[in-house]
Amino acid sequence: MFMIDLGAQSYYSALGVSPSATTEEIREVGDRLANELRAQQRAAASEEEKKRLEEREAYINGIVRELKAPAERAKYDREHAHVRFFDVQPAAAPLFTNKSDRLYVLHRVLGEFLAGQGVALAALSDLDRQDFAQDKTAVDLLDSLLR
Amino acid sequence: MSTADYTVTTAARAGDASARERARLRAAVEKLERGAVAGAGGTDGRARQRVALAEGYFRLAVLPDTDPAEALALVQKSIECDPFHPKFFFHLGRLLHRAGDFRGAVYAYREALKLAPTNHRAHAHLALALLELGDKEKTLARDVLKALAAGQDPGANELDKLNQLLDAWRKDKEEKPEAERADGGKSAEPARKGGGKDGEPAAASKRAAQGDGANGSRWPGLWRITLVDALTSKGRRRPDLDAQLKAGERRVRDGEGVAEYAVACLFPLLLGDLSADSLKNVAARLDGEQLKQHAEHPAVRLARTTLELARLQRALPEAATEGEGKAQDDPARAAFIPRACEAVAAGLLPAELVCFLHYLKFGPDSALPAADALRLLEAYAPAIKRAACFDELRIAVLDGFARRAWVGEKLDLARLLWRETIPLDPHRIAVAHNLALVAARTHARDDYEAAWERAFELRYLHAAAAGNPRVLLEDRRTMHLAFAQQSEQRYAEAGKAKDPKEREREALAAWLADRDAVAVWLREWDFYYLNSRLRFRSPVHLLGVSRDASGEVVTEARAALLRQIETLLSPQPWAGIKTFCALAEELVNEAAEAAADLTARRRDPFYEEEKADADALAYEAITRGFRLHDMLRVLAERRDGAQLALGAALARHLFALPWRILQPICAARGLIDPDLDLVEHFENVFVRLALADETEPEDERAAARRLNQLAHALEVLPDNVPLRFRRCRYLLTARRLEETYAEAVAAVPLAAALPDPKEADLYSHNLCVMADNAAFAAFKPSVKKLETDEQVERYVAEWRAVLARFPRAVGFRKELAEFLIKLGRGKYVTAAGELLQDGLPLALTDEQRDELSAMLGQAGQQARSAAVEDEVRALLDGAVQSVNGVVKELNRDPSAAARERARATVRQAVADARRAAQLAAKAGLNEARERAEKTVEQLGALEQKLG
Repeated sequence: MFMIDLGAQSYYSALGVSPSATTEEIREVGDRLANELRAQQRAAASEEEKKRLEEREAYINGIVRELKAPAERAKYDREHAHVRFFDVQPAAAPLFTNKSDRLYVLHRVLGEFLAGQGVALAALSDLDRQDFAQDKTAVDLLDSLLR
Repeated sequence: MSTADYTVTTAARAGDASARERARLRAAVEKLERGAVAGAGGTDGRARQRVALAEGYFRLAVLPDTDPAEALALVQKSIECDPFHPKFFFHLGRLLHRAGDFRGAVYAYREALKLAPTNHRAHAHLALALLELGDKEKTLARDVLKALAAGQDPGANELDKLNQLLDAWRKDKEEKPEAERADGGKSAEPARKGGGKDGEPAAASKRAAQGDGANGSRWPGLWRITLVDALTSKGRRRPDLDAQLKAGERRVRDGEGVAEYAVACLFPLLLGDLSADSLKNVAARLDGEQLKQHAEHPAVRLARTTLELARLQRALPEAATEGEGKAQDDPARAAFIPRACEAVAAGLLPAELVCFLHYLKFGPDSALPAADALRLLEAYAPAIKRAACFDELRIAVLDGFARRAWVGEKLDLARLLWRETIPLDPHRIAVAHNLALVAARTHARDDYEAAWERAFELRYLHAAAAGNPRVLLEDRRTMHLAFAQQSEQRYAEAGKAKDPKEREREALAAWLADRDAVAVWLREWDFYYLNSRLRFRSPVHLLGVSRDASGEVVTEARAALLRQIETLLSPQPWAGIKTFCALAEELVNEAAEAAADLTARRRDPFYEEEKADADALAYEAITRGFRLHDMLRVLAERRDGAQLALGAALARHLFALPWRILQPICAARGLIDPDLDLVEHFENVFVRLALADETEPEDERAAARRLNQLAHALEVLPDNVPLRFRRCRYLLTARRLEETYAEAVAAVPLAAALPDPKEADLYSHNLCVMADNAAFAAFKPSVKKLETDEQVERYVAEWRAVLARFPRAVGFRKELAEFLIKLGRGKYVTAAGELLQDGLPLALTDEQRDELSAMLGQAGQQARSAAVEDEVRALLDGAVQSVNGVVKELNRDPSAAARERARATVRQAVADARRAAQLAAKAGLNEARERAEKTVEQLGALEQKLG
């Protein structure tokens, strides 16, 4: 039976970060790993070992460079959809889990609640509005047909 | 009437009113479209009509329940009718903005601003769209908002910067395919973040830019969106927040915006900041001079109650909670749940806000253990527990703790908690997804398949329920692609050889050895491809044809997509899949209909926008095709018939790709020789694989096994002549004679139609031989000796019986006819002629027909000779018998009278024999003639003896 492998090798697993890690997190981890590898190179027992560590450092740097560039990261993610997809998803409503959404959800909830008490709460922007009655323009020909 | 009743009735009335308004508008628009209104003639009349139509489309578009896609199309129609009204462009921008097409929105807002350069509303929304994009765009957005907040119109400098940005985008689009751009920009479904409701405005777009606090904008909403941005931007600064809130406060002082300001004071809490500092600041604002005057305003009461609840530290009064240490002096610390219940019951707060605050304070991010957090929920009043949002709170708590368990590798607990959410919402995709991940991570073979099937099913079911196959489409694409990619990449590094080609061959061989992995790749990629096609709004891209495709190609592409829906989606045992299939078919049929209209095809508004994605998908299909081809070659190298089932599966997917469309792309990109017929080439590779084992099966059982293997290949290429011929061979070896015969007879016309005449002749001939061989193999006569007429008759009857089973075995028929002819008797020769005559319409080839005709001519001659021979034989036999009779009589009665009678008889016999000799001589029957002459001679001698 073919089963997906949640630990599949990826740029993210090489860095040990989540596929949803921010650029900042990636940069921090990349710097830390590079520093560690450089320290190991200095303490390497042989040239061969040192070369291996240098290659590893170059590999990590390459990954970080690619993931830091939004376009390249988007391309990598698209070509490795499984890396992101096979991650746990929040099952709770966005109100509880999505900080950027919750204000707008709650604003709408409060708007509806206050409307029930006869108070109008203006939408935050036209993106949230439903009623555009004020945007209508009087056009005789049309309005005569509607009368 | 209760408040709830009032709300329901009001909503119903509002819905009715909207439906009535829509119907009236539609009727008016139809009249205008037909030109069936007074005053629509002449240049002025036509202009008035177009303006009225533009407004009609617009009003339909902005009705509250108009579908977003329809609204977009309607606004575009408005612009076609009247391209000089800024509001149409503004609303086009708004709709694109909501749909997540931020670049499209920016273009539209800019068009609006070209027509109305001082419109702050358009400027503000332009800024909101820019805030969704890159750093440069954000900087420009902030400049625009800063100018607006200062009461200025954004100057030429900002507009120049905007134009520069748009130029840069255009250049970016020309240089890079859409798929390679960072922002993606254009989504096929409404922008959704964090699983928000469809059509929910994209979250980030609601973050506004930092202003300087002075809100002199002519658009009154500016201060709140800049406040939101100030709260959500990194490194937010207190003075910025204060400046924006002061702007709101000024509006309260001016006698308006109490609700907006009171609610805005809560924004930090609504964003989740319940720190002491934040609570203190909110309290200070709510206690401020302006709101004090409106203490009884419902919004102010709501804000104060919210703050009061947010300050409470304990969920339950101390006595009601076990094991929480010593009693607290402050009663407020023990009262969140009871106080929240009171506030909701008193109509001071909506239950949603209570649920949200509860989650923040006592949810998974609190210090409470999961069991305690879940137990707390039971303390709420039944009225709150019955609310839909309370189920959401329960799910959020369960999910939050489940995710914590997942991270902490407590997978059994995670599974348990996620399963607990199912009774609350059995259709939640994320839960199904997470449970499938648990099954994968624990390698739970019993759960794995069912868990993923559920995750698949729900993603289609939601779209079916929404009546739109494009709902969750991106999610489904990613899901199918994720599976396909994981299968593909699992063996990507399996090759060890130094030579790259050999290494790749080894990797493919390793992959092919994992049948399950290959099956997943085959299936999932097809699902991915189908969903990817459905995402296009351009009809030609949806169908996957070029813009100048012929009607025939369009029809073919439509049929191919419908076939894919039928064979791939329809058999899935998922709930709602039939509805989904019907919706998908509708989409395909609509696209085919639209593509058939050449004018509509030229005006296709999505063509250019989606072209890069369509090209990328075509390239992915080509890559997939070549990969399948390489896999077939690797299999063919093994010369192992057991691989044929897998090979057939690969070939089926290979041939399902639209090569008629892809081949010219391959040639244009230099991937193949322009003269190469790819499908023919792929067929040859596949047939090579199918016929790789050239050895004869050792026995019937081996032949049966090979037949089973070959059946896979014939399912893919049922009309392939070499495969059919090979099947005949195996059937014959397996002694399935009727089937051999039937297969050969059925395949001859296919062979005759082969383009190469030599090949056509060769296969036709060989298939005829196969039909004959089947008949010969079936002929097992029971008669071993042919000494008597009866034996001959039986032998012929048995032969005829076999011929009745294999009537078109012409060689067999000829053999029987020859045998009959050789028997020489007239009746046999006549029967042979009839046999040949009957065979003429049954001949499989012209060659056979010619042979039968030639033989029939020969048989006719034979028949005539046989008749003469029969007459000769009759004359001679008669002569001999009559002479023998008189000789016997003479021996008994040697009288003179008897002697005279004998002489007369012999004389007559001699005359008969002479006549026989003449007949035989005339017919060229030398043997008969010689026999007759000898008889004449013998009888003549007897005649002389008798005197």
